[in-house]
Amino acid sequence: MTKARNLSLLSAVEAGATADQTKADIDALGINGANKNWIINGDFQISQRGSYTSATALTTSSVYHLDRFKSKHNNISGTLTHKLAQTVDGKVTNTMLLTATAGSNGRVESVQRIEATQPFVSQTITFSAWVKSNNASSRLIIHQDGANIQTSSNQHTGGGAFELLKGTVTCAANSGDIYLYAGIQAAGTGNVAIANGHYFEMAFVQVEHGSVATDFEHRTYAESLLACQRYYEIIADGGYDVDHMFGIGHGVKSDQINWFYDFKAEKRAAYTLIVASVSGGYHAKNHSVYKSHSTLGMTATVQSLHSISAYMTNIGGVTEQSAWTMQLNGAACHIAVSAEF
Amino acid sequence: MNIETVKMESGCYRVNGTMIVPPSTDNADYVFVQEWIAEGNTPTPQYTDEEIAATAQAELNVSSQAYLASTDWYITRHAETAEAVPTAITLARATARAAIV
Repeated sequence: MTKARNLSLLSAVEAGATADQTKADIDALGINGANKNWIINGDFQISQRGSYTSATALTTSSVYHLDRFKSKHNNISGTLTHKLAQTVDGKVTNTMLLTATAGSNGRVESVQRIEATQPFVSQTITFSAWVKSNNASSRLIIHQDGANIQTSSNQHTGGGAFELLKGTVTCAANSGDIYLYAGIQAAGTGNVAIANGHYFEMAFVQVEHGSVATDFEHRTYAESLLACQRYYEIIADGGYDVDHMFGIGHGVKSDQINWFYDFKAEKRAAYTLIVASVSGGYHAKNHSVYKSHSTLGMTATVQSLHSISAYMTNIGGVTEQSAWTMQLNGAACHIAVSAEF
Repeated sequence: MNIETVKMESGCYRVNGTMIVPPSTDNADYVFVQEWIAEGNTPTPQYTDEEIAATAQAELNVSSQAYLASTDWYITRHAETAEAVPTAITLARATARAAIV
């Protein structure tokens, strides 16, 4: 719905409408103030895990590529491509493209699980996205995990142009976790007939309260990045800065230095530490002395959701309580944490 | 996630050498590891017997070298003043030298 139509509808209700009617119309329009969109990275600005502007193979198990969206194929093969600066609905935006590279009865899909559950209980929500596809089984689906209910948007015509797909559902009292599926798939997220070359390209993905699909809520890059960092955060990236200092360490025993790092965003849950293995890639420096190792680790205890306390071990000559700075030593070095679903 | 190797490490699982996964059911990777174990796979210890032996030897090397360094002054004193090195020190230094590999 365009802003002009929104205003027209509001103007209409203002003339002689009761307060309840006006509130109902406002609710239907989804005017919920800031942050109406429950989808994070719905315009695909954020891609912390790497660059996917070239077609990247999908697997049968779901994998995160662009932030917050987990993608896979089933019973076919497929690729994912991050397309930059595409014109959709008269606006320039990034999109995510899923392409089948083999034909069969299968599906390609991306899914985002929304962390919040309570705001959806017994509430009406509308989900929408602009989708370009050449397969008429392209659709969006809201899955209420607690109630095991799937609700499909309208299907794409398969005509090869961008179309607005949208759907509205009143969630159950036991709606539980809410998932948004997007792709070429059956209404219940099952397989459909797909030919080699069929594609699903989406933009402006949104889930909002109310019964009307309103204009996509744009967020700044910084806002989106911070939201994504609750689920995945890069601590240090040698590809960006080969000798990046990433933490402060202290000697705890003769062969181990513990180091810590404060996160930019509190993590959703207990997180996985991901460290690219690089020979001599991680340094601990103390004046002119340095220790190095190919990897780092962390213990199962002493972790908080705000920071990480990790270690470099199997190194000799460390004095207890000595101070160290932790530093990368190479472009292939990479440290991140993941608290994704 | 395609799991190839899982090692126990400090109460976590090190998966494929690069992912350190905490034992929490809220962690998606931990759930994958549990499924992998349920399929009949077994995580390996953090260190093999050879690695444990190598680590122990490395620690022995460090402590032995430190002992030799701390008692070098007996040798220097003997060289400069001819005062004898105590027998216990001589024996202990021999043991320390022999322990270093």
